[in-house]
Amino acid sequence: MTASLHALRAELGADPPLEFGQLNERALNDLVQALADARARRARIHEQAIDHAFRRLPKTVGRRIARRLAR
Amino acid sequence: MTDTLESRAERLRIARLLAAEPERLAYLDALPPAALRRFREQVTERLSTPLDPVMLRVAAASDVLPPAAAAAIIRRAFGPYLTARVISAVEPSQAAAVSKHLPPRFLAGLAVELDPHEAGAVIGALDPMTVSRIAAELARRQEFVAMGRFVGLLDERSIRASLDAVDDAALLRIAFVLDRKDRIDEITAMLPEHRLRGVITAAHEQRLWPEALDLLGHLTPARRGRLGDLAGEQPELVLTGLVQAAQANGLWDSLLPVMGQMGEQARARMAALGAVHRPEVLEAIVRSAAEHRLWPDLLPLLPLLPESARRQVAAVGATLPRETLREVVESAHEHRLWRLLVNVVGDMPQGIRGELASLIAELDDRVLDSFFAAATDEGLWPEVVEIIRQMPPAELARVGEAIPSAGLTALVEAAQAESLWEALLPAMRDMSPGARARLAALPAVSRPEVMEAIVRTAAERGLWSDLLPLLPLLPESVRRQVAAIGATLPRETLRQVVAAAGEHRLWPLLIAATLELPSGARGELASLIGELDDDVLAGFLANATEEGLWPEVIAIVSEMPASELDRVAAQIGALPPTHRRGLVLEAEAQGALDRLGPVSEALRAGL
Repeated sequence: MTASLHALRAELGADPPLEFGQLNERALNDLVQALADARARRARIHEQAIDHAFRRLPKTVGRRIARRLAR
Repeated sequence: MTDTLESRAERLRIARLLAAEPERLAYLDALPPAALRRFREQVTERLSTPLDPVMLRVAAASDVLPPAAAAAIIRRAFGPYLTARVISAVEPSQAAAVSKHLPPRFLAGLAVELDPHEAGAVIGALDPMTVSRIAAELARRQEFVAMGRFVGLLDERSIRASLDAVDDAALLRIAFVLDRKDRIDEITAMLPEHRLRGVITAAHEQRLWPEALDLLGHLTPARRGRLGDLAGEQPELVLTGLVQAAQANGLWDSLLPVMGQMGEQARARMAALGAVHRPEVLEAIVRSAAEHRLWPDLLPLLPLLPESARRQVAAVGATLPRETLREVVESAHEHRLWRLLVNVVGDMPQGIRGELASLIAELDDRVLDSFFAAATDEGLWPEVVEIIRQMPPAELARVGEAIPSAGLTALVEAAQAESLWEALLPAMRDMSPGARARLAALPAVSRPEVMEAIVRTAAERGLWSDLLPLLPLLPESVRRQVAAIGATLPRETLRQVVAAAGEHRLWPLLIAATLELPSGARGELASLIGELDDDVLAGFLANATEEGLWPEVIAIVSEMPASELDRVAAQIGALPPTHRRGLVLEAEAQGALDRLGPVSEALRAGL
């Protein structure tokens, strides 16, 4: 397995379908980067959404969530 | 959907998931769709972030709130992303009621984030007007992948409402990435004709032919044909664009079935396009038909092409492997396209014609029956005779057996009407004895004008070696008729008959034919035999006497001029004593010994 295929596997958290071994290094590296960017973006959206909800929910509900998240 | 298009659609879905430009991931098109689908599932799994259960409980608690109040909280606190994550915890009827209090922009954002598997009940509960508003907003945002995920979950009313909310190009883009492609036909059926025309125009103007071809590929054949006809009415520029798109994107396996379902007029317009006639395009078309077994779609197109293009198709066809050619032949049988096939065969180079002929010969009897039935019903015997002529003799023997008597009669009629005896006589020689006998016994063959044509063709084309074996099979009256015609042939032609008999060792047949001749012509032929080179003359005598044709030999030698008898006598001396003895007895019986002079002496020498 090439280094770039290893990297894709690590970024994907699973073995990609075998056929992805047909892709050249450049394509694999691009896919790894696209996936890493997407994961980072997703994590950011998730974090912002939780933060936004925490700030906007009525206080009692917000406190419960905060307590829960703090555990 | 072809693999090419399916991979492309998967690439668009993956690009949306990764929030990447689709063009950036063009390298994914090279991978099979199943692998890309699996990869998309892996990415979806990887991008999902676990949600705290408290969030879900908060969402579930919204069930007890009035919809308007719940909608206000959702808008202010949750936003589309979190709402999508928690929606499965909300009662679907409450979710639908709440959705009425949410603006289209929010709902569109929600749809983009929703997992259709978790939100199916909610989507199904939305009223058509709300769905239409969401669809319009999603189309405005060009969220075609998201739309494609949900269309399959909508009922007919919601789909109809949504169709009015999106333009023709968006329709193509959505259909291309639709999760439930099995609904494309049903949805297309909801579009009025002006929308269908609009879809075709959009395909051309916005370079969406691949998407359009994909849509066509998911329609029933009848609807595909209808849409193909609408496309066929477009200006030449539009049709050329379609052909160029099919060529550039390797989509002939999508376009050929459309052309196959078009009406004759639309198909003719496609076939007349200069863009289709380019050698590389024709090659791609034939290779695609071969790879995807699209012969039933391609064959009807061929007669509509100009001759040069047809020859190009035939030349490419000639390079196909034998197994592929067999598929072509079987497809012609299965779809009753013999007429089209025999026309293509006629355009092929000589070598490959023989290959196809031998493939046809190898067909089982059921298929051969359909071939010969088509030859009779559709008047294809001239072309079929050409094919038969190319068959290897061993195969031809079997094929001849498969031709029914009615077919043989039609074959004879066609040979007579189209002057095909030159082709048919050699083929008849190679038929099995049974088939040859059936053919010779046909009343159609016995007609004077037919026999005359056969004999004259044999004379003009030097086909005596093909005709002579047929003669003994003819009824006596017909043989006499042949003899009468033979008697009118010039001496030079008769010399060719004798030479052919010598070359092909057909002496017994020539002898039989000679004895049928009236006396003048018989003498002429006998004298020609007497004039043969010594070794050929020796062959005549040896072959005829080995066959026990002693009376016939004596009869013929008796007709020879006296000047030739010395040469005959010289060859007779080489015959075995038993044969000479038989000839002597026969000459005595015919009272010919005295007339034979030197031949008599040679016969009796040493006995």
